[in-house]
Amino acid sequence: MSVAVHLAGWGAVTGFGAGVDTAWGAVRSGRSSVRPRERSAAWRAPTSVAAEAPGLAGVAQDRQALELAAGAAEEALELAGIEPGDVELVLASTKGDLSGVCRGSEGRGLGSPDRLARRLAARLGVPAILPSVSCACASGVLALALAARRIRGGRARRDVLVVGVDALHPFVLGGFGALHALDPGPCRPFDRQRRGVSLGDGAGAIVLTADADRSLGLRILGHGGANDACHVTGPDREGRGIALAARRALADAALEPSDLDVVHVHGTGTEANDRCEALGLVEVFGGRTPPAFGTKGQTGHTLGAAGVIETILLGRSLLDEWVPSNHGLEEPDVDPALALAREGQGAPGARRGLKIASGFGGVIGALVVGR
Amino acid sequence: MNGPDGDVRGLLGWGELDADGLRGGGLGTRRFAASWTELEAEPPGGPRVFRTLFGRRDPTFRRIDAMSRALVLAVEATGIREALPQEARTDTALVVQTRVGCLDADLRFARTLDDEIVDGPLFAYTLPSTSLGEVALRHGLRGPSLCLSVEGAAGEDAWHEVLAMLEQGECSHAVVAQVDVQLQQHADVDVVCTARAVLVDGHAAGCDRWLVGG
Repeated sequence: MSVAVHLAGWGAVTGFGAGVDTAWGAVRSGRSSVRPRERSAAWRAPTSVAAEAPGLAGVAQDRQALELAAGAAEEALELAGIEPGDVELVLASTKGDLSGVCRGSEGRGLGSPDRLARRLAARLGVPAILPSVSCACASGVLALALAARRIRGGRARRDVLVVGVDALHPFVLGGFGALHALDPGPCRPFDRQRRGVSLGDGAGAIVLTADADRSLGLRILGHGGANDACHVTGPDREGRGIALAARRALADAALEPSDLDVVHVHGTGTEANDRCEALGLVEVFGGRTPPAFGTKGQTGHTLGAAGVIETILLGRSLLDEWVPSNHGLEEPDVDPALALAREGQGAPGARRGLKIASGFGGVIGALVVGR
Repeated sequence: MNGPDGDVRGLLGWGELDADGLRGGGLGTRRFAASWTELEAEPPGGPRVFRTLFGRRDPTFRRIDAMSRALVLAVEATGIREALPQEARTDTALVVQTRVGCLDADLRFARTLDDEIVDGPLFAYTLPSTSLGEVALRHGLRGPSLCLSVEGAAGEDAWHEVLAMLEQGECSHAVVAQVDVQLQQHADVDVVCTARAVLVDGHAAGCDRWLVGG
């Protein structure tokens, strides 16, 4: 990359509550926010659990995604030490605000991420909105890539605030349930007993800048994308798309696989995704991978927010030189060369990590993040 | 290669679809224009669907949603099968922008939420990236894929993103498209059925005049 892309600030709201420190502290200590459903208890779905963000029960449904996004964005802006007027906004979301879609639902969100972006921009006082990214569960990573591409290409007039968000909703819970993709209990990515995903509320925000003086000490070193081009809901059986995206990100960063110290996996908890992702990653590394961890067992799958939240958690992993354990993993059931951390462990000298994400439509995104 | 506005460097093919019919042109295919009546079919969403597309059977076409059908047809109309070298497909990006998104599928899916059986297969089509997948799997496009939710009805945002991808070496070729299909008036969203696609290589310049100008 000819222009360095630095992380200047970040923020998050998850099932653990508000704040990156809150989320990272919980992840690092091995806790999970996937709990018996309360706010969503009445919604029909074949699961008893979800990662519900505290405090949303009193918020009208058509404002929940907005409140999550604003919370994360404000934390990121504060940490970056900049005003909303100093950024352009990129929103990543699978369904934005679904008001006006379901029977009896008022409002004009209509499932459009762009409409949610405009509401968020108005709420924050951000003057410029870039295209929103709507690529299912890969939205967050691809939005970060879009922002990095813009900064690197000299098209960014300001810093770029990337916000990924999705709030739990009967529409999405019902959809995943109808696809038989939900674990009846807490998800267990990569475990032999895994039965699907656990969904969660979430918002993550990252301020990206070309200004090294305001860096948190982390950069996006490279990014890459791919499409499995084989099925609209299932992954390539050999993980070839995962491998392709990861290689492209490495090439963009001018790095070799051996230069990476940590991997943050997508790890949803479905049989197919976990198995195929492992195959793809092992193929990239030509054997045993660096220590790998995923966090959907602790935050739930936050869909459009996942890529941003999980990039933040990867960043904290590098800064703290610590790889958390994989929550719920007792008996791994994937290629054993994927070095899934069984316990939290120090990672002295860890400098660079890989983040992978994939979504419906075969879309895949990969980031290389480094100190 | 002649686009509607004359020679356009880097443009390998173009296709567009609207309520009147389907038009396009590309390397290896003559420029064509046909009404839905002449095609003996209806616009995406209508009951009469293609069993063959441009002389090829497409057995799953009738099962996909209207947004995906429109995008698939617009891309087929670019002549991609002849114009895009096989060896380039792994590095061909697919960038699509939409204003309306999946609202049509959203409304249909939402109606099933109260049914005894919720429509799982339809849920997949409530995510716009699924329509990209329908194009990618038909043509083996394994380059970066991106779907943008944008207020503008033209394709300029997708186009600018592809230009950046080409400049930064992320792909060697690209399909750039805009698609908006909404079959029923809902809230402040009018009925619409349009899709445009261009197929470009690394020499692309000026194609935005067609994609944006219409």
